[in-house]
Amino acid sequence: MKVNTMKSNKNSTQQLLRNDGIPFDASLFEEININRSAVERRASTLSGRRSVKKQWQAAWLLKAISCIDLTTLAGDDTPSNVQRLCAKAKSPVRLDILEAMGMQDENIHVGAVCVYHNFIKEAVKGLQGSSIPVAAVSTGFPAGNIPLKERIRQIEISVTAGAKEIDIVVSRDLIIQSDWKTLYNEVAACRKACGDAHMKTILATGEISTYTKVAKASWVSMMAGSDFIKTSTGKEPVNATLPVSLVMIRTIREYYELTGYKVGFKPAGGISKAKQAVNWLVLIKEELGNDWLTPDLFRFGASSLLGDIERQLEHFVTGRYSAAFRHPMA
Amino acid sequence: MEYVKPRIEDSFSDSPVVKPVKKADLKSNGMHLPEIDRTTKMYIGGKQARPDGGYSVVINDTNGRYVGEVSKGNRKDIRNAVEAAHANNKWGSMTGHSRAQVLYYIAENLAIRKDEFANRLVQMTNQSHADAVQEVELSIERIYTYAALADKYDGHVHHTIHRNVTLAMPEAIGVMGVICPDESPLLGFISTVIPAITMGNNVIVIPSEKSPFSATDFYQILETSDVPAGTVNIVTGGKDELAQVLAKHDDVDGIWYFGTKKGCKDMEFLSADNMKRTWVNYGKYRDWSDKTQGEGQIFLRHASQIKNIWIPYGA
Amino acid sequence: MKIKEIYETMSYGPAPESAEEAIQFLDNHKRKFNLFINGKWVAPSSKEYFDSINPSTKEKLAQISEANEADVNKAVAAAKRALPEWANVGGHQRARYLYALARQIQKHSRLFAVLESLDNGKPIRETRDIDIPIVIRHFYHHAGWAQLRDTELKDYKELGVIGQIIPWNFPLMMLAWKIAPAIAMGNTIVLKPAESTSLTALLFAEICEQIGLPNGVVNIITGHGKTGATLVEHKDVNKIAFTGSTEVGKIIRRATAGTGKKLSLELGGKSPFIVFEDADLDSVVEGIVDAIWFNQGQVCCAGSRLLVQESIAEKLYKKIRTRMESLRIGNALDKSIDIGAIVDKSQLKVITDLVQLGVDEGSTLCQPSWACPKEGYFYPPTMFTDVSPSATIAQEEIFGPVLVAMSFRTHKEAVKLANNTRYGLACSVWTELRTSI
Repeated sequence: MKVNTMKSNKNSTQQLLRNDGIPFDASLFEEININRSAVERRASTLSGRRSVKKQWQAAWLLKAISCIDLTTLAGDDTPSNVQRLCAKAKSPVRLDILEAMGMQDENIHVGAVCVYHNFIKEAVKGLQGSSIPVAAVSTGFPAGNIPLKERIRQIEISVTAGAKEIDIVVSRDLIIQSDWKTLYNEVAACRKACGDAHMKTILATGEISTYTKVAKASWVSMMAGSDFIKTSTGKEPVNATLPVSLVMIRTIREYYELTGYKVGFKPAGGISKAKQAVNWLVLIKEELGNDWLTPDLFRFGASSLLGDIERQLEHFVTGRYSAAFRHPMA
Repeated sequence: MEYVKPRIEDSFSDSPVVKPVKKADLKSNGMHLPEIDRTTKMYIGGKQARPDGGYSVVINDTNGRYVGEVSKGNRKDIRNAVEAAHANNKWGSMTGHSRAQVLYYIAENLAIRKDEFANRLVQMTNQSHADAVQEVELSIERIYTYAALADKYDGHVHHTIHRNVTLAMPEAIGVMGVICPDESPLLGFISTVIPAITMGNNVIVIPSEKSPFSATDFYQILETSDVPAGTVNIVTGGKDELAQVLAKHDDVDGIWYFGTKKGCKDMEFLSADNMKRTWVNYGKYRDWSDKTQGEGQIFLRHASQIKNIWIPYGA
Repeated sequence: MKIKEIYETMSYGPAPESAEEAIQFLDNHKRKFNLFINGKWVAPSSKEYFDSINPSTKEKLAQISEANEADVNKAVAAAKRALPEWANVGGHQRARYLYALARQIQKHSRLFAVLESLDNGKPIRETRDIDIPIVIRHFYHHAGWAQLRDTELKDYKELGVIGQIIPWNFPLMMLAWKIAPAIAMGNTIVLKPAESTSLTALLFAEICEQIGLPNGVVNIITGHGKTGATLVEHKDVNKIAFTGSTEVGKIIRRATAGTGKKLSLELGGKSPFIVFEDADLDSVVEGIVDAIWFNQGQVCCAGSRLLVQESIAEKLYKKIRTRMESLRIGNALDKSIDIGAIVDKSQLKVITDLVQLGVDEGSTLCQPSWACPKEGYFYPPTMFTDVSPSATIAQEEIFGPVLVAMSFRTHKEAVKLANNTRYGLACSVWTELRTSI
C-alpha cells in the first residue's frame, strides 16, 4: 500500500502559520453534538488497530521524547531540582543508547521545560545553550480562580522573565455556564498578553461534564487565538484521556479546515508509560495526520514519562529489561 | 427459545378435538317457518363485502343438515383483503393499552350476544347447548387473557458490552394470514385471531371451512367494538385454496395455519419465496378448551418479531 | 528501515503476529483433517479431501474431508445415540461442560484467533479483540442458561438432534452462536462449517475432546453444499439452524416444509445506515468504518446502504473519502491493518463484478489512491455515490467492502428509502437529537 510521503519536522516548522484567532462566531460550534458512545468506542479500539514494534517503536518513542513538556509543578520545587530537570531536558537519553540507534547526531531533546511562574529564571538559566523553550503555567494555576487582570499581569511577568510558552488556565465557571463570549474575551486577552510567547490553553476537561462542552470550549479557545489546546492541569481528579483527546483533536481538524490554522494539542496528566505515549501518537497520526507529529503541534505534559521511555529504549538496544537507576535522574 | 419446544406439544392429539355431537333431531327440523334469508358476506376493510366471484357455498351441520350459505371467496378477495390490511395503519400504531381497551370491548359485546353465538354453535356443530355456552364463555375469557397481555408482553432489556441501553422489543409482524382450525368454530377463531391482533398485526382470516358462521357473525361485533377497519378481514370459502393464495402473496408477512399435514407442508413450502414467518400445526391438534394448550404467550411470540434496539447515551 | 528514517517519516512498520502455534496445530494433523464423529476422528467414507486456502497469500493450509451421505448418517446416528443421556444429565452438569468449553477456548484464545485469521483472511485484530472474546462470552452466557434451564424453562424441553450449517464470514463465532445454546438446552448437534473455513471448527472439536464432552454431543462434519443438503434432509434431524445466503435459506425452507423440523434461518441483508444532519459526523465516519469495512464488509448486517440527509451529504462524503485513504489493508496476521483479505477467489469475483456493474449503471465510484497487495485476494474499501434506489448495487447484497450512498431530504423519505428493500435485517440511525429516532 502507498504510504503518504511526509514532510520532515524541519519543513513543517518553517511553514507553520501561527493561529491568530478569528472573530467570535457562536454559529460555528453551537450545533455540535458529540456522541459519547461512539467516541469511547473509537478511542478504546484505536490502539488495538495499530501496533508499533521494534525499530519503529524506538523511533516513535524518540519522537515522543521530542514532544515532552518536561514538567515539574510540585509544591516543593526548588532551584536545584529545576536545574536538574533542565539538564535532563537537554540530554534526555544516554549517549550510548542513542549511538546504538544511530541517533547521536539528531539533537534529541524534549519539547520544553514546564515550571511554575516563579522558577522561570532558573529554568532559562538551566537551558542556556539549547533551543529548548521554557514554558510557564501562569494565570493562577491550577484552578484559575483569580481575577482576569491579575492573570494578565502574571502572563506579562512570565514573558518578561523569559518564558517562551505560557500555559493558561481558563475560568471553568464560564464553561460550566456556557458563557462562551466571555470565555472568548478572556482567552483573547491572555493571548494578547502573551505577545510572541506561544499560548497553551488548559480546559481542565476532567471538570467538564460532557464531551459536547469540551468540543465547544475547544472551539472558543481556538477562535480566541490559542496556539495549543491542552486537556488538563494534571491536578484534576481525571486528566488526559484518549476519548477527550479525540474530541479535542477533531475540533482542531475542523478548525484547520475552516481557517487554515494548525492548532497544537497537549494532553497532560497521568501519561507516564511509553505504551501510552505511543497510543497518543497513533491517535494524532490517525486523526490529524503526520503534520501534527512534531513538537510544534503536539506536546505531552509529563514528568515521569521520560523515565519509562528511557528504559524501553535501553531494552530495545540491549534486549534486556532495564532499571530506573541505570538512567540519569532529572 | 430457538433450541427448545414447549412440553405441552407432547400432549397434542393426532385428530381434531371436538365436542360430542347430538343425534339429528329430525322433529325440530321438520316444519318451521322459512327465515328471512340473510346472506353472510365477507368482511374486508371494515366493510361487508360480496365475493368477487359471486358464488356461495352451502354449509351443512355435522349431521349433514342445511344450515346456510356462505360467500365463496377467491384469490381476488384475498388480494383485496391484503390491500385493506395494509391500508390500515391505525391499529399497529396504537399503544398496547389502547388495543387492550378495544379487546375488552370486543369481549363485552360478545358477552351481550352470548346466547346468539351459543345457538349458532349448536346449529353448526350439533354439540349440546351447555357445551356451546361453555365455548362462548371460554372465548370471552380468552379475549380477556390477551387484553390483559396487550400492554404487558413488552420485551426485555439486555446487558451488552458497550455504552448502550439495548431493548428487545416485540413488534408486530405486519400483515398476517390466519387460517383457523375447523374444530371449535368460535373458540378456534378467537384463540388465533385475538393473539395475532393483540400484537398489532392486521390479519386476513380464513375461518373454519366447515362451520364459518361464528366468524361471519363476529364481524358485527368487530364493527361495534372500535376495531379499526382493515384490522380483521374475513374471507370465507375453500380453506386450503385460499391459504395457498395467502402463502404465495409477497405482501403477507406471516402466516398461521391450523389444519392438515398436507396443508402445513404447502404453507411452509409456498412461504419460502418471500420468507414469510410460518407457524403450522404439522397435523397435531390442540384442545382449544384446555387453557394450557389453547392460549398463552407462545401465541404472542409467534405473532411478533423481536427488534433489538441499541441506544447509545451520553453527550 | 533505519530509526532515523522512521523518526522522520513516522511510518508504521510491519507488525506480524506469529503463526507458529497455528502451523504446529496444522502439522499435528499432518495438514489433513478427518471428521469428528462420536468423539473420534474418522476418515471420510468418500475418501475425498479438498484444500483450505489462506486468502492473504493463496497458500494451501490443509486438506479437509468431504463428508458424504454415509458420514452424515454416522454423525446423526451418533448425535441421536448421545441424546437421551445428554438431555437427562441435567442443567447443572451441562452448565459445567459449557463452562469448561469457555475456559478451554479462553486458554487457547490466541491460537484460535491466529488460525481464524489464516483461514478466513480477517484481520488478527478482529479475531483477537472481537470474534474470539465474543465466542468465549457466548459459552459463558449459555453455561448460565444451561444452569437455569431446569428452573426458568421447565415448561420447555430439548428438540433433539440439531443440524447446523454455518457460513464463512465469522466461522468460530457462528459455531458458538449455534452450538452453545443448542447443547445448553440438552440437544445434540451435527455441525457443518463452511467449506472455505473449517479449521477453527476442527480445533473446537479438539477442545471438546480435551474437556471430555460426552461422545456424540458435538459432531463436526466438513464438506460442501451437498453435505449440508444431506444433513438438511436427514429424517432424524429435528431442527436445522442455518446462517448464510437467502437463496440457500429458501432451498432449506422448501426441503424441510411439512416435516416438522424446526428451522432457524439467518440470511442476507442490505441494511440502511441513516445519518441525520445533527449527527456527530466524525463519529458517523467511524461508524461507517465499522459498518461496512469491518470484516471486509462480509457481514450479514453490514450497514451497506448509506442514507444521508441532503444538507450534510457532501460534507460527510468528503470525510469518508479522507478516512478511506488512511485505512490500511494487508495480510490478516499484520496487527496494524484495518482490512484483510476477501475469503476466497469466488467471493472476490462476485464483489468485483458487482462493482463493475455499479460503474456501468452510472454510479460514481470512489476508492482510495493506494493499491492493494498483489499476493492475496484483496479488495479496497469502496464507496459509490449518486446511487439511485433502482441501481443493482442498491438492491443486491454485495457482501464486500462496498458502501452505496444516497441522500434524502426528510425523515419520511429516509424511512421510505430505508424500507425499500427485500431484506429487513438491521438499520442504524445517527442523530444526536433522540426524538429523531
